[in-house]
Amino acid sequence: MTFGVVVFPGSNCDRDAIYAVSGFLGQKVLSIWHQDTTLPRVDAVILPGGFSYGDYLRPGAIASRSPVMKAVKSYADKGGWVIGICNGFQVLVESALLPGILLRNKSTRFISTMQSLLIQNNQTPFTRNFSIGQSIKLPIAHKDGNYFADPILVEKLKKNKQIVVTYSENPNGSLEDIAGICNEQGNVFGMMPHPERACADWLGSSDGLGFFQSMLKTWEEQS
Amino acid sequence: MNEMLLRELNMSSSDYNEICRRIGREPQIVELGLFSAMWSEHCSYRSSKKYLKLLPTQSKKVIQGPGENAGVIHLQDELCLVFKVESHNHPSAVEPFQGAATGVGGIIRDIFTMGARPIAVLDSLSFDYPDQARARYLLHGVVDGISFYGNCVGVPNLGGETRFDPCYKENPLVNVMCAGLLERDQLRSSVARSVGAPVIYIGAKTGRDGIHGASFASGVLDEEAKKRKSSVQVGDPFLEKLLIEATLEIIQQDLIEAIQDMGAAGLTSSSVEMAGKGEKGIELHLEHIPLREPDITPFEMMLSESQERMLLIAKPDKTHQIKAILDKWQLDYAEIGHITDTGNITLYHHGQMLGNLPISELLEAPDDTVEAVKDPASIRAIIAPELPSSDDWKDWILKYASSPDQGAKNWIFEQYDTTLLSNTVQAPGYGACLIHIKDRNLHLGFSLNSFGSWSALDPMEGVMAVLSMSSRRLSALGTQPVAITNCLNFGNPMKAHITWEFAQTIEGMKKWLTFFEIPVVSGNVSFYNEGEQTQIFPTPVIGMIGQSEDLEPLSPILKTPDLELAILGTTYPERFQGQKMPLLNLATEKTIQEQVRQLINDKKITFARSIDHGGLMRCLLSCISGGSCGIFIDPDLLPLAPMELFFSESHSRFLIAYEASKRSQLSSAFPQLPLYPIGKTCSQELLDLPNAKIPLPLLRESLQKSFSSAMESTAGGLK
Repeated sequence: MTFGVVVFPGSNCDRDAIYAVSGFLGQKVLSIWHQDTTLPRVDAVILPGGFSYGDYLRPGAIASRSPVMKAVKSYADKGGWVIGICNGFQVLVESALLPGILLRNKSTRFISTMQSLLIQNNQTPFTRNFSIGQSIKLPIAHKDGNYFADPILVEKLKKNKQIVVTYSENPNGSLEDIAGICNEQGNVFGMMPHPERACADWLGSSDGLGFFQSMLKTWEEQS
Repeated sequence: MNEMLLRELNMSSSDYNEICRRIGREPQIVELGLFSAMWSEHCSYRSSKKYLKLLPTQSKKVIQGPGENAGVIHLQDELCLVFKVESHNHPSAVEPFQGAATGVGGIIRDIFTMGARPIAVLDSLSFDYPDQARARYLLHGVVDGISFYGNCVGVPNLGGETRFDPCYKENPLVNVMCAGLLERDQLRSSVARSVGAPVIYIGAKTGRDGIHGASFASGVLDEEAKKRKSSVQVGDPFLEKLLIEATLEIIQQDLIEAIQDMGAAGLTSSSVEMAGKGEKGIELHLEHIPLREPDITPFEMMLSESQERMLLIAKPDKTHQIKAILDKWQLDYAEIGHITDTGNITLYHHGQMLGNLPISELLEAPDDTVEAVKDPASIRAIIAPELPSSDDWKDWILKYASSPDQGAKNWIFEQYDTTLLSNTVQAPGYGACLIHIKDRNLHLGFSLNSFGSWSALDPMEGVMAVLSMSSRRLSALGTQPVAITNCLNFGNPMKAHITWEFAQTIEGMKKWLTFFEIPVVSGNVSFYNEGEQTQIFPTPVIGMIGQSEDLEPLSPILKTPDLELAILGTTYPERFQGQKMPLLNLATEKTIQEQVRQLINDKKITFARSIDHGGLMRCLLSCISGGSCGIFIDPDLLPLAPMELFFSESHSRFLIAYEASKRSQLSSAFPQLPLYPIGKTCSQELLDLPNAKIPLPLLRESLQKSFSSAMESTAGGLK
């Protein structure tokens, strides 16, 4: 399987994402530059964490208008898998590839802690290796991860099972304790916690590897 | 010469006369600016270099000692570590957010300038107590600034320390350390070598921020100084992130022969130092410098400390490739001059020569050392908190746990990204941190420590105690201390007793480092840390590196019940109080550290924590703060009376835990092992001490909330 990791100016978890899928998962990986207008042949795209374009204007806002995101949108429209982590989630929301918005944390401060999370939907290509209700541990590190949506959208997210991961103890004020959601089709997934930083026990948790293993397993069955 | 101008430049008339004597004429305005920056204490180390020369700087691990942007040690194969600590005290006192943010930015630049990828930031913060509104205001700003810059630039913050004392009321200390990994063939220096080589300016445009920053940091913080907010620079971590990537790419492609960041004294120090180190000259044409405002004068261009700027000396015919990389990262650049063989710095602006000075004179500031004289009146005795009576001390312990000194500092480090880069094994909160270098059999420990109140009592013994504590904390991780960097924070060096404190500190450091065979490879001196009413303790801050191969890291918390708890090392009835320091025996300290590392490597113990100031009591509280099982101290086992044992501050001790059945193995490994079992871990959520049984949830709440609630308090306003 070949992963593509998009590098925006200001991305700073790109190297971690690359190592997670190559070093820990043992798969191929390509870097994709933010000015590229087409994607190379990849089986999944990762939008990594960081401060793309310095988070100027709003986190993810400028990245969502970069040349590469046009290519990522058409890739997603054709059913390609896209996973956005932290700033990558913010980019997906700003690009309208995922619904809702991410506000400043309720405390208004940056929060960096290990969090307990619950898997709410294991029918996506990103979470099938988990069981529903499974408790996992992943680190968070963000200032703008407070998910918000209007009541109609929240009902829709619930009805379509688009709420994929929730916090056990809400750290940032997110509506419905939301840590990660997917789109209606289930091929675009965004989450604030960092699975790529939790792929080995010596890092405090290896639960993050489950997301990448889920993708690999689905890919192997499909190809 | 105009007295006002000299005062503005923080320059003495004797320095001015010396300049005239050396160059045989009166300097032009821009030339005077160059001298004021290069001869400032901050750039020239004129009061300290005589002493710094005494420190040991060599070992077989040292690749680059002091004198470059940062020190370099060899780790494994071709892999090296680059590291340094630096202060940003004065800017943080005046504008805490930007002062601290640019402190982070500056030290990170020192690391990637050498060709290394930064992997860790640590910070040492000393403030007045947070019940003081101004201390809270400063601490809020400083933590926010570190969080803002470090998180965005993408370097994890792995810890450090926070200390409180009223002596830091007017002049808080903000010292930041950075470490980076380097492949040996990527090491770059700041030595210009080839005549004719182009000088390329890259990064941020030059603005008026930070003008006179170096001379600002070389005077005391009085009311006039505090008005100099324009001496504080403004940071942009996004730009710095682009600079890191572009610089490392340029170095990897081998396109430059020298590089230096524009830190203190900006373009002046970087150009003068690079040319000077290669015994060359440099010619600059200032009209090419990218400017934020069109009317910035050449004088301001040379002295601006605008952040996120670098100066490169290109290899012949490589400028096109360099420019392509800078275009890719969308960075500003300009070719602003070239290296010459004149030995002079020559400045032109639109063809007009504004200065022509011998670089050797700029680099040779007059020696300024004042004779060191001890002043007994300046020795500050420390009054340690009164001890409780041993019959009922539960309330005392709960109160002690709720002081900001003891309380957990999560409020601070949870605002820093600690897991970025996926190397972090042991995050902040345990005195020292541990990282694993992926794909290698290699762990590194980092500690950044000080303890000013020790040095206030006895500067020589004080720094040795800090070095012992730092190394003990690294040994408790199972790593062997291999090198240090230091940031020496002192008062006004024109005072004889401050020079005495400094000289004593150097003497103590030399003695300790020589005994332990550990070199200092980089560092920084920060003088003039005093306000109008207060004067800081002499505060040497030590950044230490530990290294280990074949390490199976211990858990930093106590989590298994029924382990035996013991003190490793001998406890004497001695407290750090009044005029007396606990006695430090270097040989004992070295031996006990070797023993604990051996026990960890042989997997004979499952937990180790250094016992430092505050003694066993403080150590137990720190174990409880993050732990998940109870502690039972057996009154029948104690080698000393309870109050003496719990509050002794003897050096050379660890609290360790191991399976009780393995006790004989421990002793057989080292026949002379000073092992004193004192109790065990238990499954009850209880700190069970003689005459005090305290439920852990209660204690944890005190520890967790004491500091954060102090920081959230609005009593007395925030400013």
